Amino acid sequence: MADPQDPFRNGLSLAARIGVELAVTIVVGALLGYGLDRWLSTRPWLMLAGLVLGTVAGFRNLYRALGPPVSNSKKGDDGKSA
Amino acid sequence: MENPLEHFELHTLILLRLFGLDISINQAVVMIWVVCAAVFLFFWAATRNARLIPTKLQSIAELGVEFLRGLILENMGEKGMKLFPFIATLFFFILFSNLLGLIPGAYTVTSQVMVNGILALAVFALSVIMGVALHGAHYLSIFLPQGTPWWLMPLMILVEIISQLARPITLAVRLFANMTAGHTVINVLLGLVLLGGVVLGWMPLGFTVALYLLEVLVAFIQAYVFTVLTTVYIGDAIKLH
Repeated sequence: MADPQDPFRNGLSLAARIGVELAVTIVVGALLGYGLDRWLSTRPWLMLAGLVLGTVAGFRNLYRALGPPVSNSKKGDDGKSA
Repeated sequence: MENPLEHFELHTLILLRLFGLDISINQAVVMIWVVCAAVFLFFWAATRNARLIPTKLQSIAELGVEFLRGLILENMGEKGMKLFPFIATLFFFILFSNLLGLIPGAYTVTSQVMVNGILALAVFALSVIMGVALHGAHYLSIFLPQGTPWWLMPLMILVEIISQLARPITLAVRLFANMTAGHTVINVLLGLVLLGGVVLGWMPLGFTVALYLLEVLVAFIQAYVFTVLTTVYIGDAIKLH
């Protein structure tokens, strides 16, 4: 339990994370747009824009979490050695 | 047949009102006290007569604390150690809530999205406070990922704002959804045991036992995930690219 780099546990935590993350990010984008729509009475355009932006953000997070060059840990390692 | 979602409902035990706010004591509040007491008693018992060669309980507690220390150092760096008490409290509170909620008849505090929401908001507020305190106005650059081409900047800022705002919500919803879903499935299967009777009932009973064990694993994983993401989010604010 003391090793944070255990691949099995990393895989489990990733699996537990990403599904909800994708869904919630899209919903947050759409709801932000909806809220702005109600405030500025521009229905339905900002909600659609928010939905698109939320989807972009959701997939970008997904890509960042899964993407081939593991940006977070790699960058940290490079920073330490440089 | 009993409604499988019934045991998530809150029942007021003591009605309390303060300036028009409903601060009644319900079973979730009582369970929060129980969880806090359990965490306290566990560490009290584990460190009561701490020795160099640890007792069983002490080594479990030390394992947990060492593990959290590694997590913080990895994701937040040395500066993050100042937040060790917060992160450790968060981890052990969620872990004990999840585990104690698995005792039949007990209430699962983390199946209330408001409880998780408050925890997640605290994490979010702390990350913003840390970021602003350490970097000042430069903290705003968290909304602009490094190496963005100039023509993508307006779009990326909007996208980053959305994904920053989604962070506390994902934290809260993930924990809530996992705990609620697991308990509901176990409840439904138990209903099937009663329906199946002696002849067919043993089959869902086997699944119930298997799922219950899975839920114990989920209790640990969810506490772990919440804590890891807390350290990552606050670490992002501390390191800022």
